[in-house]
Amino acid sequence: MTETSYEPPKPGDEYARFLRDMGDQLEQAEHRRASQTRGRRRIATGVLALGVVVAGAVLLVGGGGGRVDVIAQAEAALAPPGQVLRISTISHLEMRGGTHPEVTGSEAESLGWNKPRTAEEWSASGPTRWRIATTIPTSTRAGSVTAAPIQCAYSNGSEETYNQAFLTNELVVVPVSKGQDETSEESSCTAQVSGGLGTDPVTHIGSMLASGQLHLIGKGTVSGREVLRLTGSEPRPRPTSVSSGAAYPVEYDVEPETYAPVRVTVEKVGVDALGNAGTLTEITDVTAYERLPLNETTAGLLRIETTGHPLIRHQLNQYEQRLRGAGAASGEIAVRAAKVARSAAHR
Amino acid sequence: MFDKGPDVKALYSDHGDELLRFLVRRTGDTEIAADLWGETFAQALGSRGRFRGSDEQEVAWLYTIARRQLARYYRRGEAECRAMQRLGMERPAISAETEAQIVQRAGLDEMRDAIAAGVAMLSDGAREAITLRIVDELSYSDLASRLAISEQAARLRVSRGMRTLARVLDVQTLKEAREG
Repeated sequence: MTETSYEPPKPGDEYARFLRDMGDQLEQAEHRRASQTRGRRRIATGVLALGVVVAGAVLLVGGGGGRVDVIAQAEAALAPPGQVLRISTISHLEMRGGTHPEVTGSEAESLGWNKPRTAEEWSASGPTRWRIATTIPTSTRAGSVTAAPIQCAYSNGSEETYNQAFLTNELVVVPVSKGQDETSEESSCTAQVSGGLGTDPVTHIGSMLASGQLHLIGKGTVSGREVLRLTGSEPRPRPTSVSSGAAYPVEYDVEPETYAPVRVTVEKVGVDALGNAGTLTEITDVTAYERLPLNETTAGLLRIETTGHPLIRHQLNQYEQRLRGAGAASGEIAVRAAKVARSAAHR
Repeated sequence: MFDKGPDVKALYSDHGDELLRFLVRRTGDTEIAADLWGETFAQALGSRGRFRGSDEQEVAWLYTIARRQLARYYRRGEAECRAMQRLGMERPAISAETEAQIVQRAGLDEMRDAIAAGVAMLSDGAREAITLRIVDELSYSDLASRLAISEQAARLRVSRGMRTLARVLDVQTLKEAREG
């Protein structure tokens, strides 16, 4: 197999027009974004001035008395240098508005939709490091579904994915640029985590509140814990390029003081529920959200500890190589494998 | 320019075409690839202010975003569009002529042979779905009808099969690089 034409598209042909149209979309989006940024700055200035005038005033929630200060609360919940933030979740799918809440059917079962999933993640800043351990439903050749363990971690410019069950005991190491730290929630590993809380949910909640995607509707309880309920909608992935991509209704039940998530509910309106009646709904319960002191023991929680002698693969795709201009002509690609006692290396 | 960080429009001009080919070759699907492509640039535009790398790292940064979109697609069978929606972007429609050009430029026809050769490692369900969708080029609705499953389930089978096949595709990529 050979790579086909790399010649630039001919001006005036359909593909060139397609590329130009997309470029125009980007340019317009850039202008809109710039306008929005200026608008937000003006609003922020106004709010600050207003804050001075009404200093000391509090916004009461549902008559209860909780002060809403999203930014401060979000900042307070972040793990500062010297601490490790630990989050554990368990999520499940159920049918809302249907005849029964359980998700049933052979197709749903083959996708693992009928089983709860757990995830545990640890993160620290200064420098940014994180690790996530979870399971993903994996179909065996015999057709049964097993929960395959997977771990991912980020530190020092590299992301590691350790999948013991997938074909081989393999650890894939992918270098990422320093600028990717903040998008850790978009990593391939966190994409595996059911519920999609990411490694920094408080900041996510804060930004959604600030952008008007979430609204505070009052207080409630979840498993006996007092929470604030935030509802709204989040843009959803779309199954096809022509679908409307309407937003999913979401509920965030958060701890009143820190805005740490307690339960996140996403109604996946329009998603084919594989023969089940009602709206497919994902409910993610946060079973632990705590800060630990950063020491030798907890620092170990931020690293992947492998078992046995995994195949370690350092991966950098050829396109990156070519575009960086490093080793492109010779077609060098930084893939190398070696059996290394990974666990021993960490000790 | 109001945000610091990479000039995303320049990155698009220099690397947009190649990034689209990169994604087509890893999804075997021009529509899905174009969605991932648009979302990648939208995310780049939205997050460039937080980029802390050097100029030399900008392209790698762009490809990292793309790879993450790809991983998400493999997992979920759906292409994200959140960033495009936030920015009010609409990915241009792909005409039949444009699709033919994308397929030709990405070498997708040649890749179909490699994919067909690699499906032996898949489960029966995924093998059938991949063969019908990528090799035989059935639409998802036709594929769903043929397999007597929902379109959503068909998409998931294809995307998960492609995730497995990504290893085959990477081997091909490696081979090409060495031959290049």
